[in-house]
Amino acid sequence: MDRSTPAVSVRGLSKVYGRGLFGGGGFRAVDELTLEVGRGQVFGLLGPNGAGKTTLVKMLLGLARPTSGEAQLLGAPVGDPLVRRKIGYLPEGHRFPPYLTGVQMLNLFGEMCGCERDKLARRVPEVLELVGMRDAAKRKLREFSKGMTQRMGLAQALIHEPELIILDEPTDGVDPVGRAAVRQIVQGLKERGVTVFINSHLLQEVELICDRVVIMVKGKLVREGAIEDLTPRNGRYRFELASVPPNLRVILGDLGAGFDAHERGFELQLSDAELDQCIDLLRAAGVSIRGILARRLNLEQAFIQLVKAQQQGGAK
Amino acid sequence: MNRAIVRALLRDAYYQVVDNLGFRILLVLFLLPGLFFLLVSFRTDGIWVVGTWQLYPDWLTSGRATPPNAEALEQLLQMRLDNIVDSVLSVFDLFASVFAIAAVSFFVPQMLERGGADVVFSKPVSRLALYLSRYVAGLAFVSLLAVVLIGGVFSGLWLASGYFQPRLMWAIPALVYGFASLHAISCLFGVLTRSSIAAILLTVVFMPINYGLHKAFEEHAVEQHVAAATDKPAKPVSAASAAFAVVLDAYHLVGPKNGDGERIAKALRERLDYVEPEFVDEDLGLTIDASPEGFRREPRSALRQDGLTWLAPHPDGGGEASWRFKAESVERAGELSAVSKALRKELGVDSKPTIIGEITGRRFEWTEQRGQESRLRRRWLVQINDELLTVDYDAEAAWAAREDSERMARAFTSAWQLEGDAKRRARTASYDELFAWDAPWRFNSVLSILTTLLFIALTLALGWWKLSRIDF
Repeated sequence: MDRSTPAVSVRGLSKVYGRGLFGGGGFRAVDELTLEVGRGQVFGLLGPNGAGKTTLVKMLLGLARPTSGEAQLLGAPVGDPLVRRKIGYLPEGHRFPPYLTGVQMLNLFGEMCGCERDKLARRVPEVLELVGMRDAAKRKLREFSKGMTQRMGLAQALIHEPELIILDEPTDGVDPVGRAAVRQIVQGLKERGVTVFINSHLLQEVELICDRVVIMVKGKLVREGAIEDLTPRNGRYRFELASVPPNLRVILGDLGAGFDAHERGFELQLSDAELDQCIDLLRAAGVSIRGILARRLNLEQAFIQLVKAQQQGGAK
Repeated sequence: MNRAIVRALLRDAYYQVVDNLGFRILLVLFLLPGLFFLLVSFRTDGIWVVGTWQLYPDWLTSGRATPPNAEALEQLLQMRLDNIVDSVLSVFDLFASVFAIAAVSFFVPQMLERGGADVVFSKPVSRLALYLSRYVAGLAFVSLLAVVLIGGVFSGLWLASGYFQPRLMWAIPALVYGFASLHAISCLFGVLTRSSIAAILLTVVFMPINYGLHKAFEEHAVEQHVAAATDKPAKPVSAASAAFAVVLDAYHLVGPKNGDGERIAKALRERLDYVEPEFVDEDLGLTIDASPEGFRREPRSALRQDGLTWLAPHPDGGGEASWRFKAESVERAGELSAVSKALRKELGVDSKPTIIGEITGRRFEWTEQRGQESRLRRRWLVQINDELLTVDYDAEAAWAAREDSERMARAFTSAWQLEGDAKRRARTASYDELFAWDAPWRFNSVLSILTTLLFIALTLALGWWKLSRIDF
């Protein structure tokens, strides 16, 4: 398969639930969505509840039929069984067959993805080791805690060495140590050139892991870009000083706003002109500046701002 | 779909079955009949527990003034055991169907549960394959139970009672066949409702309705068959009854005939065991399966001329015993009484009523002197409409009184079956008897199999069609 084709390509994709007999009415869960995810990216899909993220993922996996538009994975239509062999999926709120042990489940799903027995004999212990489930692998899945089940879910998504992995809330129910492990696994996948598509509402996780993010609201794509593009500077600057003079407030006078002192310096809201002025004042007073950091909105703040703006726009 | 996927799905079906609590409970219950027949042996000298405690020593002969001989006792034992096994299996057959449906109806709804479906249906396996794998899981469930039940009963009876009946094994495919259509229905209800409880309830409701409709059809079909075969004038029926009869006929064509499993197994068994009879006369309903050991048929004889003759040479080389079947047309009803009366008068012996098949006739026995020789003679007289059938047994009296020649005579008697003419057979026919490979469509086993398989295929196709349209 051509490595130059995008891992995920969606064009004008729509899904309408509950249409009437003649195709009218219904709830538009995904609305004329177009997006592309390049190979080897770690891609985040964000949006408030009901934004259509899960519907989009299900259409990509053939679990739901699009009302219109088209979608391709790894250069082939989404229903193509050969392509689906190259995709790993960890759904949200999954329920694995309770009558299987961890090893049996991995073998089952591995074989369903076309893996031969000898490959599975090598892969199953590797993947169990990777997700930290080697010791519990012979227990029935019904005996697992939520966190353990989540780890097994990740294992089954990885068992057949897919080229594209779709993770729906991958750290749901996982403890902080487990989350760090998941991040490490995703990082490892990225290094191997695997495309990772993450659907999550844990924005801190997404911010830490993803290269690119798409934000959906009411079935539409409202923002797309790298994390830096989505988290603009907020005008606050953090100054690190060699030593904090006792008359710092006097030196700065009434420059800027929202002064906030800290152990090794201060933070202040400044315009570009005020920033130059602030540096001049500090240098004139003989204060040694060790560093200046332009503050940004974090992803959560940016997300909330964007969603509120969209909802207000929709209400008007 | 490659072999790895098929293997994976079958193994998954197996794991699902053996993990099922209902399966384990049923497995234990279904082991009980086999265990019972292993611990309790049925013999001619009584019922024995663990081969040590003898209970009911006269369980076969109770109520008989004269105990039958050893050979008759063995036959009686076989008949009793046949009845016991039939009763046990028919109880467990119903039990298995109802409980197995209850135990496997959740297979499909569980697969479609939110969360579970996302995992399974996102794999590169078609929905049809996944759906069929759950259907196969149900069949595997019942097959394993059937093997345990029937295999256990067969082994127990063989080891403890010496009752070796490989034909019992036919009950395994019969049970699975009967279950196959019910399970297809349960899978369909599972897809339509996506609820285990609803699937169980709807299937359990379907079972008696289906059974009732087929039972009504069978009654109606037999009634129609009898009317046609006996030229009975048709009774006037209301429009509602006539419409209902059409509905029954239509349902017979489209509905699953899971109750025919045992009949089909019997028909197959008979087909496989079929041996061309030695002699058949359709008009009289006379069949002679085979010449018993030691007898040979006189090839030139004909039933409606001189009669059919079988000869058995004297074991010591002196003389022969003979059986002769002869049929002749008689003018009117009551001829048998007149012939019997004349014979009674001529011979000076009383006749005994005798039953051959479903037909009652008269039997005479006397000794005849032929010069120096004393001959034992027996004559049966049976009238079937305007045909008078005479069966003559003729043997040297001294020889015929011996036990081995008496055994030969009994063997010959049991080798002939006399069911009477077509009208008589039609009057007493049951659906089971009329059910055959070459019977008219209402009783035709090929039609039964094909329409039931078609029903299963269509039901599964409908379930798959619905499944393919589900958005998870």
